[in-house]
Amino acid sequence: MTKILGTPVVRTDAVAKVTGQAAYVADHTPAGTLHAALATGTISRGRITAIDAGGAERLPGVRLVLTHRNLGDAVKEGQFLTPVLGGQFQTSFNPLGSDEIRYSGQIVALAVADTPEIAEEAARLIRVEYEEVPAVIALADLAPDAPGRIDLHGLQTGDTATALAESHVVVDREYATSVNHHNPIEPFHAAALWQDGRLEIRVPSQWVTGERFALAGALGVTEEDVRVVSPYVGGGFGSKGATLWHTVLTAEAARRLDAPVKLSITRRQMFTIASFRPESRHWVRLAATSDGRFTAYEHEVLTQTSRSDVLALPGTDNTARLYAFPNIHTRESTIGVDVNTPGFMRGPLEYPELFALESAVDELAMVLDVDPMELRLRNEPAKEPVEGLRYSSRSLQECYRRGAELFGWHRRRARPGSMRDSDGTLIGWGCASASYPVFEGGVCDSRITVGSDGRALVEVASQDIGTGTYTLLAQIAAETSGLALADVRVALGDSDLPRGLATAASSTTGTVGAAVHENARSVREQLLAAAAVRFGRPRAVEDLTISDGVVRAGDGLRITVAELVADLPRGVLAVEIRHTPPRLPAEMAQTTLRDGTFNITGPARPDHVAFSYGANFAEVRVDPVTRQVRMGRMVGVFAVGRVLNPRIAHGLLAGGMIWGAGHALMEKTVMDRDRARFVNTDLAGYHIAANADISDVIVETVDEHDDLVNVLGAKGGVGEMGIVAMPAAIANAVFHATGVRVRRLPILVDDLLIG
Amino acid sequence: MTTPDPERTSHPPLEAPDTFQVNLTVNGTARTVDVDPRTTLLTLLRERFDLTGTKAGCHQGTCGACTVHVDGRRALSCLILTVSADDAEIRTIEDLAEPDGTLHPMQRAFVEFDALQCGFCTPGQIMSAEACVREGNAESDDDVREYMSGNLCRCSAYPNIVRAVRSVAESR
Amino acid sequence: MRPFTYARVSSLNEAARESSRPGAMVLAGGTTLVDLMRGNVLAPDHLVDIRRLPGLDGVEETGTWLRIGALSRMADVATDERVRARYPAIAESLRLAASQQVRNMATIGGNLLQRTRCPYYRDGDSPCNKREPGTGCSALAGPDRDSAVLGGSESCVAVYPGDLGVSLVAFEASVELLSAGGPKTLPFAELHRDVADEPERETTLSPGDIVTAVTIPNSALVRGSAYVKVADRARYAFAIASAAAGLTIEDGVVTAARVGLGGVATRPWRSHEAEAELVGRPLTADTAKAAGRAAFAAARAGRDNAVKITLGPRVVEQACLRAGQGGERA
Ligand SMILES: Cc1cc2nc3c(=O)[nH]c(=O)nc-3n(C[C@H](O)[C@H](O)[C@H](O)COP(=O)(O)OP(=O)(O)OC[C@H]3O[C@@H](n4cnc5c(N)ncnc54)[C@H](O)[C@@H]3O)c2cc1C
Ligand code: FES
Ligand code: FES
Repeated sequence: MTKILGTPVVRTDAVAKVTGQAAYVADHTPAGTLHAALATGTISRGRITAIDAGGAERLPGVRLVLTHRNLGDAVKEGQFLTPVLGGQFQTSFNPLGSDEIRYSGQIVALAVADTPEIAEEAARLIRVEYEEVPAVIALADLAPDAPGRIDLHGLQTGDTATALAESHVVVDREYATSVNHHNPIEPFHAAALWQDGRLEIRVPSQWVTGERFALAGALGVTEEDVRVVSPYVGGGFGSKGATLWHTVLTAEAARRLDAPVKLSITRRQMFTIASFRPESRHWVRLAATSDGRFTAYEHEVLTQTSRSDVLALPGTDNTARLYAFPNIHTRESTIGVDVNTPGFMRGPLEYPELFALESAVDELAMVLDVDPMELRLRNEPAKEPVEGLRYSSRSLQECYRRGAELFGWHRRRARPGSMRDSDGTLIGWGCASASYPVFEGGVCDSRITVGSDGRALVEVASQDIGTGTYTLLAQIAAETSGLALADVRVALGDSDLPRGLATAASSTTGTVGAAVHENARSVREQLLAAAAVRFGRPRAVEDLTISDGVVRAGDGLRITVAELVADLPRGVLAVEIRHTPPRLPAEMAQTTLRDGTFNITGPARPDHVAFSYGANFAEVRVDPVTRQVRMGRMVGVFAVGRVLNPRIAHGLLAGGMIWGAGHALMEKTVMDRDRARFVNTDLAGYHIAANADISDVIVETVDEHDDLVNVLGAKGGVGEMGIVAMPAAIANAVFHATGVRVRRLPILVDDLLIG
Repeated sequence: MTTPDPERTSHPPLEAPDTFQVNLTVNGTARTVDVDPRTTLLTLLRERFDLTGTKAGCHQGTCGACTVHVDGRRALSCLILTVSADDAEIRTIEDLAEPDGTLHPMQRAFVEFDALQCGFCTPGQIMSAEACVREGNAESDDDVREYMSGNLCRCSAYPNIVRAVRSVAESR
Repeated sequence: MRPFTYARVSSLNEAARESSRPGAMVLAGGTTLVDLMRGNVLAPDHLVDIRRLPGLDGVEETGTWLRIGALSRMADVATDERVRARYPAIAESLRLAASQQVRNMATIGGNLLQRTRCPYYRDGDSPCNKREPGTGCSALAGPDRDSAVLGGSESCVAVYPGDLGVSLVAFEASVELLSAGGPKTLPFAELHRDVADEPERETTLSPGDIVTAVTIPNSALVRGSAYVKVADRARYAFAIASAAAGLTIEDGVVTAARVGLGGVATRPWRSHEAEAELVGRPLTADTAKAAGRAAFAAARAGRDNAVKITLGPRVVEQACLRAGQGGERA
């Protein structure tokens, strides 16, 4: 059998992308398209007292100006996306639902015109008057136990208070992470068209199925009357998972005008009309014995949410299971401030908490005078410490061994500031553990149609946001069904396809992949059964093999899939299945199907827990005079179960590690605390890493077999594993280079110039 | 509080046409169009000429996704007013592969080294990279890192982009 | 973008005439102007496109000066062998600016006249005296990490963001203009105004003035010069602090020094204080440090921009040390 899974197959969409032929949503402009632009508000809290769209409406070429005044009840309510309660919207608050302003940069109008230039000008001409009330944006402006603080989650194992009192060493520190914005290079466009009462809307989406439910509900039409198309997505990172309100407004404008409407959104607007990574504060107490055995782990977290919705990001489920902690106490809470609702962003629950814990571990290693990697290895748990369950597999030690070898960790000198290059550059080396829960999605359908030419089409309403879904599903379908990879085509990003799942929490390979696997297995069985009949003598299917599109019997008989299918009644073999993840609670399965809710389960399962692990190593180079930090090498070795396509997986892991470098050293949305707004809302002010910021990035995955995790043995997490611990590794490296411990990310040159 | 007065700097308009006629050579073909003077080259290419391979990421000069060649040099089509590009020769990603579909060496290298993920920055990266090699600014990895820094890749495919560009530079 | 009229000019006289119309602005590479027009920060009524003006492009060198035409592209000047060999700080301040695409489009004249990157100026709606006189300064009350520590006033603390201007002010460049009254030459140091209480008036140019060239005197100071820039991102970012420096050293003692500062002041900033600290002393790590300290002795920090005062001196120190080694490359 040809090996397809586990090989570095070239992305099936690579040629379309390098030639500019891959059609992203804004690349499609049907004849007669009208163009739309948004006007956004300038205050952070209060209400609109007057809105004058006259100047805009009088502009030649302007077709419509939508405001809260004329939206009326054409648009219904939308529910906030939460994994437990359902909903698909980024926020329940419709910005044009009333005269209320809840955050700076809120949409106050949408203008539609004949050309993009006129639409933009119209948006500019809309005059708004406000009544403003004081607003709060930053956690620093609220006492940690301010009224309104909402407790979300907590873990309690053993007795941390006693353990802390009795421990040899305790690190007790506060850490913090900043607001970050996803900033995919592709903006959040939307292009809507109604035909015969049916909406077709193009929107870059990580969840076309959810988007369809959301739009149907908000527009008061049936799900069948909404088609969401998103064949290519120019990066999402969490920002394109939930439905954004301007998508609804664009659809409504197209409905009123009975014409195709395409909305372009500016980079500046992207910072306020969608979600972001909320600011977080952490209070960590980590204790150990004198020989470096952890005795207690306490972790309190406070994050921002909006006043409209409660966003829960329970990250200590992950950190509490990273080491052998005999006593655990965690508390996670959030508090509403005057912002649009934050949301999921690459490693949403994992990066902030791991930054705090993995910094504390490094601080503890300094106090104990133990090598920081050694301290981590010493605290390897036999069972996960929260519920005493076993790990489905865990190869953190192997990752460290291999990573240390690749990095040359044994050459590290322990004392901070003791390593220098020949030109005086300070060198710092740090490490940190990556841990990412294995999540499973909900119910997923899949359809495979094999034609009489022997070629197959795999269809599922999933998405490829750069994560290689097109390629991975083709690999799974080809290898499992016995077809040649070249004969398998995959269709994604269309809600008319068999119902798929959100591209979220790195769960696509595990869950959508499992659906396609089940589907392809069934295709294979039917092909073999047909071949058995065709070969004449009744013959055990077990004697037959299929690969590269050819069925062979032990005695040398053979037939191609094309011939087999040509002989079937209608000359096609179409198989559609519904995959229900084995551990999905029945009522969850039902709500997903009925209400289109977002379901994700894990990492704790009835008799085990499932996590991916990794060891990260970072080198930083610090100019001795200016103290400017530059990245040196980054090494990441990961254990993610079976790697279905190392080429794609390693690229995603490297990309995540580079995100880690960005989060550690530059990414920060600055908040104007008095005016409760974001300040640096463009790509010149919000710095994401450029090519020159990054030096060598070395990625490896270790061999790991995990039969428990899912049918493919792929634990996943590949899309997020890279970022979760790299920021801590870098912060630890900065400390090692300079002796300055920075406990708030990003670390800017400001932090290293004190004293 | 009120939004600022949009008319703050207004003066009586001069007598002038609403649109201008512009001649361009786009991917080897001469084209004449009437444009609103506000129309950027990026909007023209995408919305009028349906050359949507060139992407819009910011319209502020801050991302590089809109990179095309203007008279042989890499430039940002989002900050060029079409009127001011009269008589210019424009080359976009659509013109890089041979008419029979044979990929340009830089496109092949991007495929071979997986120098892309979501692919949205990719046309801009490739147009930039092609020029980078011609300029002689791809002689070392560090050179490439520096001279390709005007093309942000949020997926962060940078290490593979460097490999791809270097492989083309070395094979020249 | 607000509608405007457009005229492409083909002679300097025509340019001067068109650009003296009310509400007119000159368009060169457009990398500042088009961006700010789209962002509702600048709204000219009339655009005068000077990009095709003949004779304003290219580098000329004699034994005593270097002359750069106003329409020369940043990229071309940055890679010009003459500039790199004998005016290294000029070349470096161009190479370390923006991106190759921007440098391919942007002109030297436009570069000198680029606008601040102060986020409040650029956002198009915050109170900002520079954008809308009399509305107040949001940076004075808000996060001001990007704001100036030198040259600010009660009405504005916006930083002059350019790199090239730092080298030009240090090495005593002059600017050639075509004015209503005819050609005119101005010391570059007099092109930008102090903020005072009119932050909207950034330069001493009159409406209709066209920059035609900049000239930089050749000297031993500039021949060994260095430019150092520190930003939050390695490339494609504006400076938190930068410095241009040039020194002459005889018998181990600094005989003359030039120091320009960037990213920290409201205008291209020459630091006579740093220069005075160096002259007459040997160039050592200590004297370089002292020069840095002197450069920022009068600096005043706001809430969040103390970094400019801690980083700035170190950038000056490094630029001086590099200049001392004859302008070794970053
Ligand atoms: C993303 C980005 C990053 C950047 N990074 C940097 C950086 O790191 N360092 C740096 O120094 N710069 C940087 N810049 C700024 C860039 O260098 C300037 O935008 C550019 O140099 C302006 O030149 P231009 O020809 O495009 O000017 P234009 O935009 O055409 O004009 C700018 C201004 O100058 C006026 N003007 C232009 N030419 C003349 C003339 N000959 N006579 C009279 N008036 C004239 C115009 O009326 C206008 O007011 C960056 C720009 C961008 C977009
Ligand atoms: S779209 Fe032109 S630089 Fe971003
Ligand atoms: S490949 Fe996604 S932005 Fe570069």
